Amino acid sequence: MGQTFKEKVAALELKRQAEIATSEQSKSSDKSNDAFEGASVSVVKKELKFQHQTLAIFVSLFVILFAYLYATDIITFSKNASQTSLDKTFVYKGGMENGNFSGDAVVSDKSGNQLTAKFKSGKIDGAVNYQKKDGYTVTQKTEKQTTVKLVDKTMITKSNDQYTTKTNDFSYTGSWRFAGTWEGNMLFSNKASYKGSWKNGLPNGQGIYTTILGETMDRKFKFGVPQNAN
Amino acid sequence: MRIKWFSLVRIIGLVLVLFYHFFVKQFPGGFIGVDIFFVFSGYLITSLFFIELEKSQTFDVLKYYKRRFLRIFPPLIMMIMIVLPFSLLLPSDFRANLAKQVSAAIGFATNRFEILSGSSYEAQQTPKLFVHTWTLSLEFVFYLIWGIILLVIVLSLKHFKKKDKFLIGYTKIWVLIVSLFLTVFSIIRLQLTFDPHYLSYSYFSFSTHMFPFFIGAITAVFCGIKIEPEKKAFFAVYPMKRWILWTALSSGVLLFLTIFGKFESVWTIRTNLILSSLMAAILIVQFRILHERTTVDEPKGLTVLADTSYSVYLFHWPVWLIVSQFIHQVFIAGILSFIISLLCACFVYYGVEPYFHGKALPTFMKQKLFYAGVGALSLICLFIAISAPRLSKIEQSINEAQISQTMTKLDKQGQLAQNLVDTGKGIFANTVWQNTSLGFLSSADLQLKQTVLKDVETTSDDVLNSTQTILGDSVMVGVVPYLTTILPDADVNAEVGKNYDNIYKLFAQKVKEKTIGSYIVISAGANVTADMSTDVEKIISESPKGSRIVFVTPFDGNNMGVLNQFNTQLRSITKQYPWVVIADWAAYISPLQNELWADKIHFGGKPDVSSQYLDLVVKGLNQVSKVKGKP
Repeated sequence: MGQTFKEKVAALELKRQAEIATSEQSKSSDKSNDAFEGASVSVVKKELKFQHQTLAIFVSLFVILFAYLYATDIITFSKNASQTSLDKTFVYKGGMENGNFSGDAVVSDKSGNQLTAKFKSGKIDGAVNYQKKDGYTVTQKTEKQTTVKLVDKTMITKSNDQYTTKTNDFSYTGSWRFAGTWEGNMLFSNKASYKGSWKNGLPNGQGIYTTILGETMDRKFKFGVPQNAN
Repeated sequence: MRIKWFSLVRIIGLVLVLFYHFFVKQFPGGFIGVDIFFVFSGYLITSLFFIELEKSQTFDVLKYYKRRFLRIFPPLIMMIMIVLPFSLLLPSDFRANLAKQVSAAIGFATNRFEILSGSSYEAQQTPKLFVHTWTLSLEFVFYLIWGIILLVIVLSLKHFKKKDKFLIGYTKIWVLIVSLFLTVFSIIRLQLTFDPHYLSYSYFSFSTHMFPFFIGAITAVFCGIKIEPEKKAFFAVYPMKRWILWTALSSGVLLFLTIFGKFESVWTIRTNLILSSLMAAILIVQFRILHERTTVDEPKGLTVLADTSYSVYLFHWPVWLIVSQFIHQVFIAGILSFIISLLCACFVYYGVEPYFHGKALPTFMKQKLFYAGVGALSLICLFIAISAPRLSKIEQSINEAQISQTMTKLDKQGQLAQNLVDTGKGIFANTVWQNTSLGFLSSADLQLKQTVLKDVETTSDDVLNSTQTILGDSVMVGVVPYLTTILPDADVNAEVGKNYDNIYKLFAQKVKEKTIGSYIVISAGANVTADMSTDVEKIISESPKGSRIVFVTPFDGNNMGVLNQFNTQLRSITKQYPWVVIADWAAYISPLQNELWADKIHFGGKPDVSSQYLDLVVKGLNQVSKVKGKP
């Protein structure tokens, strides 16, 4: 075995005392004359080295602090940019932060349709407006609340999957889909109305047809045609 | 005072981490090696503090910080400067957000960086070059806090005139109390804040993962580097049988956790890390005993490995990422990565670090040319970091997919609103109102528009006229813009980060609310969870009568072993039910995986791959539409 712990401690203590002595000697040598020039040069060098290291540590701490603030998004750099999507289907024009979509932006697709929205960390944040080129405008206020304005200024509101609209010819309240079946109530300007099941855009299934004369028929319908009662 | 065999503690920790990173399939729980490092760190720092206090009756906190700083910071900077130029060999996705990655490493904020991106599934898909420096963040915070706590303890006791043995004795008691308190606090906080869907917080946060350091500090109180003569004498004659028993027990538990303790398991973070830390503490005591019990010297090789272990740890992960890009044979890539990391570590530990600890600089290091070279390399590194892409292609494609999805969805809203108005007007204009028996009529043109949209020819009418629910993860998110033109009325629920666990819960909720479609498409599994097959069986058994289900087999080119096993189970489960079919994406894309993005999972923004994926889904739907729904 090498040194015991006690021996090691003793050796360290001796070394420490020697260092203290050197340090005291160097302090006195600061005030000394040319006879001690050699000693003072070594002291200056040591102090310089110490200062260099201390300076390096302080600079490093500053770098660490800056890096920390940047890495944790406390310091950010944002800019406006134009970026084409990977599949080249649209162009994003607006704020960018850390490579992510951020802030107000307008997205235009190849056909000229435009999406206006606010972005946060790459994702759409809040209300969105979609303008079909030469067509309708769709405004989504929340996931459940959307308003569509057609070219002829007709307004259609969708709230919780229920559509509501009023035109010169008719008004409608209910679900609406491209395909499949749903329930809805269409009231025509000639006072006729249909309330009941729909399929593929025509009354289909159980429904109540109120004629222009005010008579009501509670029937099963098949593609718009009322079936015989019973 | 060097304790023989302590090298083994460091080496065990290092080997477990290397095995985890190089051979994750065989050693899925090797990440516990990091906790062994933490325990040992807490032990060493506290032991050395006791030695300093006994020797000088004081604690020089500035020297302590300087020592710690010079120990961890220069090798970190060296590693970053050496690795960055080689990172150019990697695909650009590996360098995504490199400036932030480097900043997080230098700012000891990688753990916070990981917590922030932990909730972002897509951000985790490509391995980050410096992700392993999260451990330094925890070490750094521990050094900071522990230095202040130790100083406060010493100053307080000195204020009450405690000296010599009393000072040491009382300090140990207070260190024990504070360490116990912080250990218990950390474990309670871990249990209270634990969220199985957000493991990043529990794992990377200092407050929930600081207990190993303090378990190490507690060990140092009872069995530090410097021990009482009586204890020394007791250790010197310690029964070897008992020593072997305890060492085998603690090593056995660590080995068991390394082989069986998968990261995704709920128990890994809640209990296994605590158990690993306790076993590490026992191992430290065992090797401390062995130091007194044996007279032979520690083999030189062990000392070299232990001394360089910190730098090997720093280098191994980026070196592995680079090497494994070129050498696909895992074993050879692992060995080569270790050799390169060891060589770099030896260069840093023996060739550079001594100059930070007072060794005189050689002549060439004093020349301006040397500093010009270092400056030039720094500038090159800075340029590489700044010029790297901010986002990976995967993240960009997922963000873009959301835009496309929203535009498609809003356009559909507009079309539907237009369709409603056109239909109403068409019925008003075409209906023969006087002849009620004819019912309502709309124009032929409108009827054609109403039936199907463009590109939906391949989907059968049976499917279109029913309700459909799509549940999927980020893979499905990528195809949603195309999906809505094929199944216009489908209820699509695709979100990044979804796994079978989340999807089952969403499915169960929809079943309960009776909003689940007759046709259900489920595409998940790339984000692996513990019991995916069980979730599949639950979905099948809990789906309502009349349901038809299409399961898409998940594919991850980097995790084929686990997913192949799951897909085999999935195929075998679904064979039992005619109303459940497979859209075998994994089998289709496996030989064509180069067409995917670099993570070998996603393909959002690639129309050709997306259409192939959708083709399989539609074929699955058409196939299942021909059989009766769930009886």
